[in-house]
Amino acid sequence: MGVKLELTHACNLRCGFCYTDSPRHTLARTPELADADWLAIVDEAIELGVLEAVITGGEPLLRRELTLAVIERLDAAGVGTTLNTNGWFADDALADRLAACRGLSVFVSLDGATSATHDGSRGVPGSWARGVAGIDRMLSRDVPVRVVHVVTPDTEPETEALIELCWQLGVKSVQMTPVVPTGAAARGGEWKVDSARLRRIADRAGAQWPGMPVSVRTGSVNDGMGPTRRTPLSLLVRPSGTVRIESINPFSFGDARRDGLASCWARIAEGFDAPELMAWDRKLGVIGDYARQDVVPYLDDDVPADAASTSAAARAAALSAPVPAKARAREPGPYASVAGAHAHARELALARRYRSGAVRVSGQHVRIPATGAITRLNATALTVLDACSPGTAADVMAALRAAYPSEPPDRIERDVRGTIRSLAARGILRPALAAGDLPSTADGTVDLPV
Amino acid sequence: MDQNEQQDTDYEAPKVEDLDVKESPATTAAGAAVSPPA
Repeated sequence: MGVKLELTHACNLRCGFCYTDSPRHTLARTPELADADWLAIVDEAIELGVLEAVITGGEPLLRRELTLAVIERLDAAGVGTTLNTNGWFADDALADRLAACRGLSVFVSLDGATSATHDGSRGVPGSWARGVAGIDRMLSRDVPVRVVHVVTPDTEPETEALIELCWQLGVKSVQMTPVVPTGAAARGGEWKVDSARLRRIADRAGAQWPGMPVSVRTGSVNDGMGPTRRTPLSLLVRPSGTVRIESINPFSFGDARRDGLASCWARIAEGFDAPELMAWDRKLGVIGDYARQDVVPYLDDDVPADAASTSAAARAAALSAPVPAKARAREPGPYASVAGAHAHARELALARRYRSGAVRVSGQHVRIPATGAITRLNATALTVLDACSPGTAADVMAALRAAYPSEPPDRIERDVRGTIRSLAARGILRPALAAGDLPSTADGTVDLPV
Repeated sequence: MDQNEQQDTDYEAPKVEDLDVKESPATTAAGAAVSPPA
């Protein structure tokens, strides 16, 4: 069983496609649960035996201490936890606390290889630079960072350059996500992209950028299909405490604070396949468009499952509710071109310092005591390991370029970075700022099973 | 052959290879190679 906790409505960004319509709720200051309520819900979730949790918003780090307390409590109980964030607030102190959570995976939204494209998509100048800086701080502490890339007609031209940038930074995986047309995206806009093209990009990237899986998420505007109806495996708690099955299902099954999670779960198990809800699901499957449904997730207020409809007046109010304007772009800046952005990512990656992990090295063999795994390195890979224990990728490049002055520097650089990624994935190398001896094993999940 | 040429010839792409460890170290054998890009 899993839980998804939307800790806050509020967000500092202004994405036109926001599936939770957070900018509208930010402006309206929509009420949300107090810290003590959330911590009680988390305690009950742990008591009920949840295995996975997704912490999301809005931007959850706008409630920083609550978010950290929730993550630390879940992690201490052995719950696999994922944090969804835009990275803006990931400073050194925050990254240190996240690094101490061994079962945590962090998903950061990044929509463009350049600040121009990303900031345009996210509506706030500076969001690319802040996001990339946050990613680097977390990776420098071995926090597993995975990038979620919302692909729209505006961001798609930079998708391949963004994947390359993610590999340069050392990101663990990239998930391309076409827009899910709920919330703000259901108000209008052109979001559809060519899924087949995205899948081809993902296939190419898998071969070109080893050790960094690239995938395409389904369940979006392109699929035209609703949620599969089967016994739910997870539940979602909205900022108000309202409980739903999951993001793309708009019906609520009680209130976590008032009724308790166990009671809400019992209601879901009893009523998830009620005729009215199945009718909503079937219609979605036919029309393939959330925006034309009687009840639209996140655009309409949460609708109790036993009511299962909303009024025309409520819909009109939701469509006409004021939303904050996107901020105007600043001067282009150094990361507005792909070349400038890639140079920045390269600079960050080459400066990252490493140390040896908790391993035993004998000749060309390395044993990782925690897993019993044994890895064999050739002479060049051993040079990389030596120069990074401790040292930076730039130190390794200097060593190899001195030893092989006729070897093309580009080739050496790519080899060095690929090898560091490979050794770090096994825990043979650790970023110097990492906590503990062993890397996190969290694969994470961008969402919960439905 | 000068030294640079000698070193150039010697450059080999880094290779990181996971070994298949069966029940005891004595049975260690080469498994599927996982290497960085050549």
